[in-house]
Amino acid sequence: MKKRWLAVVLSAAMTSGMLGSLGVKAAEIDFDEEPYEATLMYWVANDARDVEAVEEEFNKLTMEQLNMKVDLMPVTLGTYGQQIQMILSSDDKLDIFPFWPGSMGTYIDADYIVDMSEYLEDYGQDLIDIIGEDDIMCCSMDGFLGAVPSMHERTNPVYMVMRTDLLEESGFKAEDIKTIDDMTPIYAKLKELHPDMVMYGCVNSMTYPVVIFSSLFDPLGDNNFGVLMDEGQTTTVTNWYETDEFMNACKTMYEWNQAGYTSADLATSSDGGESLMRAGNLFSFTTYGKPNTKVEKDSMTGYDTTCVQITDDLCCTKVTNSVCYGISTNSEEPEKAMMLLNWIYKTKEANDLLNWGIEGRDYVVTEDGTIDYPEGVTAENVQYHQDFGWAQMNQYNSYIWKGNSPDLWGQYQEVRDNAVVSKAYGFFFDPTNVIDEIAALQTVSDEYLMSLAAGALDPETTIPEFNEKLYDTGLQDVIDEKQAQLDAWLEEQ
Amino acid sequence: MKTKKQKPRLTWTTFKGYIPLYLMLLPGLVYFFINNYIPMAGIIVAFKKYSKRKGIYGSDWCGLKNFEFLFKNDAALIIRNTLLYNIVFIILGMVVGVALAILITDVYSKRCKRLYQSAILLPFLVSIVVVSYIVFAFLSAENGMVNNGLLKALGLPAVQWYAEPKYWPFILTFVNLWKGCGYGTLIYIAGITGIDPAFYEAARLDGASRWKQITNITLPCLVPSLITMTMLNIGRIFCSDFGLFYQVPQNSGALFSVTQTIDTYVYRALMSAGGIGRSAAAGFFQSIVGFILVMGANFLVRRISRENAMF
Amino acid sequence: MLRTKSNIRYQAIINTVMMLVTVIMVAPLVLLFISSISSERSLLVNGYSFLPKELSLDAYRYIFSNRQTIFRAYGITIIVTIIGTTCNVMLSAMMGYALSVRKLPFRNIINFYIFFTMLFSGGLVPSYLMWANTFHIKNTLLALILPNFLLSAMNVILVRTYYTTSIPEALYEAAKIDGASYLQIFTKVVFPMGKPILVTIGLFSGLTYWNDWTNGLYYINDPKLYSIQNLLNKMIQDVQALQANASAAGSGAAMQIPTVSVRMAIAFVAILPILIIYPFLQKYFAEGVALGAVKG
Repeated sequence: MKKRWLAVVLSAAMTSGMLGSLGVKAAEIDFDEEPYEATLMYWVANDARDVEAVEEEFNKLTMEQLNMKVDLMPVTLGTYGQQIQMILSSDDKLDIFPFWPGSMGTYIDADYIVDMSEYLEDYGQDLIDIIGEDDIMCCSMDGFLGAVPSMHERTNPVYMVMRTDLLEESGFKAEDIKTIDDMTPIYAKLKELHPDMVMYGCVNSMTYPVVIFSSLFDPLGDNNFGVLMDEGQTTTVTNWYETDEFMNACKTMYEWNQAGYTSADLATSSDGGESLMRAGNLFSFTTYGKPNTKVEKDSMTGYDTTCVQITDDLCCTKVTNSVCYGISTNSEEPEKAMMLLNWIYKTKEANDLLNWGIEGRDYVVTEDGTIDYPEGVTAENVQYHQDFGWAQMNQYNSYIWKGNSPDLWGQYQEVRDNAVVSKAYGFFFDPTNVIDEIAALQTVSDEYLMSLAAGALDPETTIPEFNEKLYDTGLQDVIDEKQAQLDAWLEEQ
Repeated sequence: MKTKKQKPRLTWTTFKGYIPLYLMLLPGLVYFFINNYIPMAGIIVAFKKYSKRKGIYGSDWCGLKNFEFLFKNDAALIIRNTLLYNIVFIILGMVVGVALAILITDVYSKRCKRLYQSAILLPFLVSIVVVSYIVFAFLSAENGMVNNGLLKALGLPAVQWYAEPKYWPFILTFVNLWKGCGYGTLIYIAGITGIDPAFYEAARLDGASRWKQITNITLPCLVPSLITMTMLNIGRIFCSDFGLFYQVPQNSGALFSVTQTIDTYVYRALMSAGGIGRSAAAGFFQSIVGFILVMGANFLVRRISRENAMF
Repeated sequence: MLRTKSNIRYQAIINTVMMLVTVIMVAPLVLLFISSISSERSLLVNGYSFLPKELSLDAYRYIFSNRQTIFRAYGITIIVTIIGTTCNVMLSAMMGYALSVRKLPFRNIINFYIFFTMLFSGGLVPSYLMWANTFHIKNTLLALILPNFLLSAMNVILVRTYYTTSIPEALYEAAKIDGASYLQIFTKVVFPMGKPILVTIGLFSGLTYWNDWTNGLYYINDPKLYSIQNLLNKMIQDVQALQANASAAGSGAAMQIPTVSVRMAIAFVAILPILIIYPFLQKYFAEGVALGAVKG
């Protein structure tokens, strides 16, 4: 048994060595051996009524093409965080699983994930083609390839989402809005017309000064302690919280807060701008944008919205690796897991099953090639419907939901191609050496950031206090460590 | 009360008589062994650089490195908060619990008695996350009952509750009492109903006032229960109800100076750093302090009255 | 108690105080219920109020859109609570009794052994490793019953304290002279006499089982075995996660949930059955109390 398996690996290695980019071919899969049983954990939006039928369909494909039996393990984000630690530290069956890149340092340290670079060349050629070498490197920490990024958007520009009816009423036009400060006169006008309405609101982690990270600077890793300003066009690591940009953003928010444009609860809000707008009392909110933002927001808010991009498109490591799929050390045969992952990325049917369920039952293809619910099926009674492409493996290689442009993925690609690319694109900071400092800094930032960003505190006095505390807690050490790692990385490039 | 009993020598024949009792203890002891003692060995991971491949027991030792993050930021403030809140909670919980228990047992009408008992236990049914929603419904600056209903009606200016640390020691104490006092009260009610009514009968014949009866009979009879409860709480004096200090203040940064406790700090710190070594270290730190305090308290109780010592 | 003038006044005072306490205890829960039947719009625009502007059952419609799942989950919780609580009370009573016998050799060591479990814990991971990998209880009903709650040191200690203080040692002696064995003393004398405390810890244990969602979270993946708290907690968590990730999530349908009132409704659905059965429990409870009162 073992020997045969070894032979497969060797032959795979040899062929891939000889044939290069042709990658894994079905011919190399030994269909005589016991099918490998793989467990695939992936993120979903909801608990579907029927996962079993999807799993069955999925297994038909994998048995036929890979000689593998796959146990599907969909998890919602609400429970994922509390379960994953335990599964990883136990012997539970797990091959492929998603995680946040912020955990990668710890996961490598604790031996939770497999270094995929060992297998990528032999079993993941399609991954390299699909994701692109540059993008894959965003998941590589110090030479350890902990995961591969999912095919979600590669830039996170900030969009301002407004109710179109109110915008028209204010007399302003979408073209008038270029930056966040252009909103102030609109709010002033509308506040006069609708004194009871909230002009600007969202979840506290989505306020403008918090979300601009991915368009103003490269945060070099999971947190903003030490960043590359100028959209990552410099190579000197500096403190974001000391910059004029941060000060100005907070000042704008403070001004709005004082003028009553924002909800008084913004600093602790856990309600999304989408829900607040749907409830009818909100004019606008900020969000990360992508080409189909308007379609999504219209459906979420129930209003016709106007969505305006107010920051640039910037490609940085943090955005690319924000959702990634790795291989757990619990996997009995990591190379098989790699084959499976490779197969999913390149197989349209696989992605459709995971995201949209079963054709005919959960969706039907419409004339323009997009998909929709079948007759009589609605969001309330559909058996399996996730619409969670950003968190799954390869949404580019699957159907597009009705209402979106049939060329959506082309639009995504266009944005990516025209974006500014940070000089540190592909550099992934390893926090292990300063992890205690970062832990403590995180509590300092928790103390100030949300309140400042919501305009609840006067930035003139509070930001200096905030920075002082950051430096007291070891910010400089983290900046120095980042600079050292970045310099070493740049040298290598 | 202090009768120095002479310890009988343990012989097989006397021991044999106790075997039924040991058999009654056995299932529980086995359960504790499995559920608590076996996993307790995992505490050593607090002193290790954990690696899955090497396992909890095989990982390399790393001294006290996992404890370092606990003392990186404002450790004094965090420990102060944890201790002060717990001391206040212990004392108030005891006073209010006993007072309510006495009042309820004194109520003459059976129906009212039942009503009160159910009422004080109701908040106990609600999880702390839900409590945080209820508190928010009252204190939300924009939509809250207090700002919109009460303060407006009184003509007072609205208060940004979630940005004003000065109110929170009181709010948290109140919430804790509201949610938790039913638990203690119930135990004390059970304790009071266990008191021999003959004592009260005798006191009444002597013409003792109700107050006298309480101080001379009820309270002394409750002392063992009170000591037990206090000891149990002292053992957890470095721990705090995470939900109460994290979810109820809506994780509001502006309130950290009065809401940051060891548990919330550890949670926030480990959000980014993670690692089972660090969380084990934090747990061990809390336990060892509790352990030392309980041993000390038990020693004191033993000196005063052997009867009432925990062990 | 005699109906003297001072007694009547005393009753009036304590009833007033207790009425006030009752209002303080109950009012927030009333607000919880009213918020759950208020429309999302009236909560976000008009604010929370005992007299909402607009009523709506959307939140409940959302929760009960999966009726079958909810009722199954209630069933699971009820089974688990009954089994778990019964075991907990029996074990606590037996241990508490044995440890209340003052002459029991090694009593102090055993007391310490029990108390120690309250102070130190190995943490979630080692506990999970043992139950999941050694005992293989994952995805079985046992997973909801066995870990953590089958017996708690707190309950053992409470029972022990109650037995030592409320049951005079002379009673044991007398029973001994009558030739009763320890077991007989327990079943005939101590168990019935200790009813108040057993009802109390039974209530605690029952509530613990009822309210627990952690065991389900860690050990149950099979939706057929979800307990009600698991299900509801998952709903809350998922709604929250979707809110926080709304900018990334395409899931329009998932975002149409009335989030604020749903949270309230979920909380109410979780405690509703207890509110319904509580009066019946109360009967036993009051009986226990009465038993304690007449025993002297």
